[in-house]
Amino acid sequence: MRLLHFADLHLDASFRWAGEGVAGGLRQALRDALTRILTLAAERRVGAILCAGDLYEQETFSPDTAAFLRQAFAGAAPIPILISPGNHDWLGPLSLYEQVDWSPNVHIFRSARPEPHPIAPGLTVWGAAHLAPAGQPDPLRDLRVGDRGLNLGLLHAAERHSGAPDPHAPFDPAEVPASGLRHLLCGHYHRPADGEWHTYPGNPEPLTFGEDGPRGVMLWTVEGRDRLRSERVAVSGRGWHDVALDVSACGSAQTVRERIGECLRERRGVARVTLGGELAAEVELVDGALARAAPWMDAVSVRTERLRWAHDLDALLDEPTVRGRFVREVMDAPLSEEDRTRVLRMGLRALEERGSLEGV
Amino acid sequence: MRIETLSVGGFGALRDRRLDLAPGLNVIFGPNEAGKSTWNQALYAALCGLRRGRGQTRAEREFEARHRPWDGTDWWVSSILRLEDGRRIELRQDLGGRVESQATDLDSGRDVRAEIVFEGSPDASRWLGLDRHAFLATACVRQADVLGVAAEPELLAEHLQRAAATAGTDATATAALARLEDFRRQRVGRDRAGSGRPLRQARESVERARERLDRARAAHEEYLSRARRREELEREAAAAEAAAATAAAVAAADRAAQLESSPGGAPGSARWPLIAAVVTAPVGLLLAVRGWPGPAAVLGLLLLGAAALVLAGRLGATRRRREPRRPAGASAGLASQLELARAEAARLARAAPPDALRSRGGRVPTAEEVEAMRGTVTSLQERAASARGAIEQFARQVPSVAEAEEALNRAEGELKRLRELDRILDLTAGFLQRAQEEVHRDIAPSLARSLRERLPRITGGRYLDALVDPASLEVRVCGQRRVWREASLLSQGTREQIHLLLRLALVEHLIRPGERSPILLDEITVHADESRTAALLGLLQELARNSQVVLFTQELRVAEWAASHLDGDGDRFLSLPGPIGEA
Repeated sequence: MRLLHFADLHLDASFRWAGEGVAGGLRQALRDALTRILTLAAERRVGAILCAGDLYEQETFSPDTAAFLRQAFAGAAPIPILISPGNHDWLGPLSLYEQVDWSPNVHIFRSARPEPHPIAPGLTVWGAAHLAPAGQPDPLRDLRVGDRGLNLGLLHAAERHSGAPDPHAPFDPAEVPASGLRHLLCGHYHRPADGEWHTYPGNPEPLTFGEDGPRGVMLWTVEGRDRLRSERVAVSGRGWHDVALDVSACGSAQTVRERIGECLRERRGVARVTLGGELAAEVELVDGALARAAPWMDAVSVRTERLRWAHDLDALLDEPTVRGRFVREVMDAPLSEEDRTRVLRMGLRALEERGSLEGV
Repeated sequence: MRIETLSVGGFGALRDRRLDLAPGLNVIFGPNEAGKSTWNQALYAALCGLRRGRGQTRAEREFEARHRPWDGTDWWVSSILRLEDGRRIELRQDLGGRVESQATDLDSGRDVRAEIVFEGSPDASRWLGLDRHAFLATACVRQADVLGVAAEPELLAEHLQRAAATAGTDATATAALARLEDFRRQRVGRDRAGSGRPLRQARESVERARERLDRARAAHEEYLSRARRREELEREAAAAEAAAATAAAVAAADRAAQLESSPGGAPGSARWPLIAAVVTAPVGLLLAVRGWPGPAAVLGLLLLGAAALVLAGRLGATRRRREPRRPAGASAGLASQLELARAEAARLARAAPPDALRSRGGRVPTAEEVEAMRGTVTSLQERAASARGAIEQFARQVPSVAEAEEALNRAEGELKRLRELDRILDLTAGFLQRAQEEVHRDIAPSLARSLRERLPRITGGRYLDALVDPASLEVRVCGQRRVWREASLLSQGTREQIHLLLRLALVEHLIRPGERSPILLDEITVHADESRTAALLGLLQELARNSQVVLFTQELRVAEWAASHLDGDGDRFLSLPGPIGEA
């Protein structure tokens, strides 16, 4: 029997970094990812779809998301769909889960303590719900599931690390075998992780830059009585690229734009380009123009904070002029490096009569 | 630093030419078209080279158009320099950018290019603490500069300010501060009501975005609340419907029981016990006789007993019904009512929750009560339906909280950016203002001192003293009567001479201590009378004991002065041949 395990889709999440018009497309991409997940489940003939929480955002979900979910899950019938609500889609009186007349194949775990739900002879899934956005206790504490059949956990829970205590259902992986669970199918951390006793599939569709690497859904195959085999399947329909680009050799804004275009030429989707290196002082970058350097992309965000500008400060330091004095005083002042760079750049550009004092 | 030799491979109309210079005053005389300005520019290019990089400024384009070799040969110049530390350097400037320009120490053969590279090419003025732009703005005094001051007196102070701010290469500090303020006015503005500037607009955008988000969140909450109310109504309606069904079922069952127990209430059904007794008795008798003494006999006896009981009951009922007798038609109607009541009771019992029926006890509800309960159900169902419709309509109007959050984030980001920009502008203007005050405070006395030393000699004692305002660097001079006059209001010739003196003072002030800069002068005496020209040339000769001076002139009186005053050792007088094209 196969099981499909996913988590942290975060439907209706807000994309604060994204410009107007881009965020809506990214939210649609999340829905598209769910559609692909359900299609994959049908194609791979899974016996159940297991969602380990944060399916949607309680604080921001739109009313039609409820209708979308109902329709999508009903369309997946008769495949059972089990959901353990997480801290973003926590189960409460006003929860979306309570507003939908779910099709019979949908089962939502409603207790903070894991409770069993048999999905096949000898195969039971133990799930639980977050009943508040924070403060969920360890769901595995004192849990004993018995020895009969294969028992799997489906929880939105945080693997306990040595750092600060996590308010989102922290657990110790050693508690998994102690409880009698064969494996814990988790949600919460967006970075995929494969532990001996637990697995995070990662969020299927990235929500922000840096969420790269293999991620998607887990396909679990139950072999024999209690052997499990896993396969991670990517379902993201949109590329997310976090690119660092050295533009030191560029002598003009046009060249910088061309370099951005070149580095994104083979890519599609969304990209964040962090420019680095040193540019000649006379190069004037226009932020909006840089973001339009690769019009085939859905969105390009360009960061210029790490750029350095080539003023010959050593030469200016010796100059017995206002400019030289200005540079000396700024260099000696107790400023943060970022402020120092900005003040120097702005002052020198003002003295050099550059077009834009910011330069970007 | 002194220039010993200038060699020109190709520069404008000059080709394969060489100019040897003396370490002191060099006067180079030539008529129009003799190439004086070309030699002057070649000298500058040999010393400072040209910027190498992408793109060209207008000035660079004009320089190239004017001085690239007319015959298409390679564009290069070279010079041999004597530095203050004793080194002799050969500097070859490839102005066309085809090959790397070179700077070589002639004694050690070492490449010293790295010491002076500036904007991509070697620039000998770096040894002086200047760069090619600053050198051009201070140590190169061209006829155009002099004429500029003559035409626009205010340029005198501006030139000083420019030199003080950026060694003459760029803006004055005052202009830079004005640019900062203008930039702030345009790109930031003040945060006050009615302002259309970005800062105020951004703050209002944030307020609007916050209100939008509040509205979106309130609508979201309202939606959730309405959804919950709808669920409650639906639950209440379902519960009321179940209670009404239970009550109706109980009432119907009660009515059926009443009908059944009433006289003649069940004529049809009375036949069935009789039939059962008639059938059961012989079967029981047969089993009892044939099965004796086995279990069949026991079953037969039981059946006989049951038949007897049924018959006894039937007989009693028949007796009760006989008095009084009812008409046959009334009995049939009653039976029909009973059947209907039973069917109704069964139907309602199916509709009612089984647990409710089992658990229900106590009084049987009246028909009016049942009807009232049904009315309540209808009302609740209508309200639930209305709530469903309303929430569906409301859901279409619920704004996206995510979009409102994103809009607020954008607005807050813009406001933060503007406030940061405002803070950086404040810091920048503060540093620049202080730097300007300090530099002017330093440079003003230095310039005034230099003017005081040289002005009486140049003006033949007409002006004896000079002041330089530290704030504006405006120059005032006075004569014997100590009446101070602004330099910009003096005669054209005097302004030119003051300008020249200030340029010389600036070079002395701006170059690195211990260094001496060559001074390149082109037609600087055009508006000076004979006596002032002689005084000026005398001053230059005196100056040339310390720093090399190269003066290009077409004035015969200057040539005559040079011919009579310059000896062959430290100074040099050179007469260029006729127009270059004819040379």
